[in-house]
Amino acid sequence: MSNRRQPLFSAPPLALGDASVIARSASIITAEVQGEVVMMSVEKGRYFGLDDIGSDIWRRLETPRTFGALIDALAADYRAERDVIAEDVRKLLAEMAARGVVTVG
Amino acid sequence: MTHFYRLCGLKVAADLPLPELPRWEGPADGAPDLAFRIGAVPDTLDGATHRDVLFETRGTDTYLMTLPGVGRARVSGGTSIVIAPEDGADAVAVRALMMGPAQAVLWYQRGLLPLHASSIAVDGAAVAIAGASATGKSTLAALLAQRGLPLLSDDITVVDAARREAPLVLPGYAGLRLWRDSLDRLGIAAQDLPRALPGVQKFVLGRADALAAEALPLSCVIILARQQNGKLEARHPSGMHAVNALHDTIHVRRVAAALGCDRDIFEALTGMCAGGIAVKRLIVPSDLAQIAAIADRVLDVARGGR
Repeated sequence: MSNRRQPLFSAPPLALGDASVIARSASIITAEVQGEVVMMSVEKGRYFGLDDIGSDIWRRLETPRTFGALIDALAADYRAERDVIAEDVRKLLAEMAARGVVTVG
Repeated sequence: MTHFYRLCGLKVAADLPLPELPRWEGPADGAPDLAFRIGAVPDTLDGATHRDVLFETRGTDTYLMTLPGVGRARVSGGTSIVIAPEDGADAVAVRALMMGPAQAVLWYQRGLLPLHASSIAVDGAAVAIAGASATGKSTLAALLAQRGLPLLSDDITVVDAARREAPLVLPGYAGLRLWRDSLDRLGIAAQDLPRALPGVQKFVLGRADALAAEALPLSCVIILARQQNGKLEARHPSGMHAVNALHDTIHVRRVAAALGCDRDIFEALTGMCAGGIAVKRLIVPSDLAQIAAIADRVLDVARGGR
């Protein structure tokens, strides 16, 4: 998880507990292009992409999941320490939430 | 007098002569699909949903543009352009308003995608040549047409992306407005040609009778980027970068957003990239002397070369 590229901007920290529910935002439309998830914000008409990990998380959010369940699933697939994954994913989700890609409830 | 032309396979009835368009040669009795008229246009739209500096829209179906010194244009329902020229407006400028922004809006209203690109037919497929103004789109298209490749359209390339796996380029119009130095480079005498705009050293080279008549599948979009002292070099964006590069080529983007077309455009562009349309960036030197080498490279890239 450590080799993903630096976030484009630093998002404010996100209050996330294991029971927080992460869901895809309704104001985003997406398409898969050559293995990448490409998105458009419906309000802003702006395009952006997700890196490999972001795309993976996006696919796993086809139905809303708790943060805890998401980290468990990623930890099983990426063979890294759960805490390390949780920290990386927390930063990534903060970025995605700030861009209006996901909602956290 | 009404003139009948063919544009993107449709029958146009026009109040003014549009020499960039091929004459309609289909059935004489059929009702026209598009009306290009000179007539009254209101100052403003009642119930506008979006107002900008030069234009306003009401939903997708109604668009009003005011171009100071030229006139007002109203485009409605994907079927009609009406222009009210200002007193003393130059006829060539009126035509440029009709065939430029007004034409692009008409295609958005019909659910089509106008790219700011010229296009030519290479091996039975359409290759679009895009790029910012003055990067050499039209000059390249003119040179390739001189070499015998059929011209599909100049300046605006209309893509029908309804069948996502096989987008089509519709045969458009033969603007080919070139600057005098480009004409000199191609060995064409400017004094024989009509001017593209009054008082400007830009001339109309396009001959409507030389346009390709059939729609062709789009195979490749080549985006020109001029660099001072740049080396001729092809780049191959993929994924998000390809989609973004294509997004930069769509015509009058802010207008398209105001018309509510953002979602359809996103679907069309990502569908094109996912479906295997090649998106290439070609870094080109600003030196016109290299135009022949650039044309060779465009053909090479269009045929799948690196």
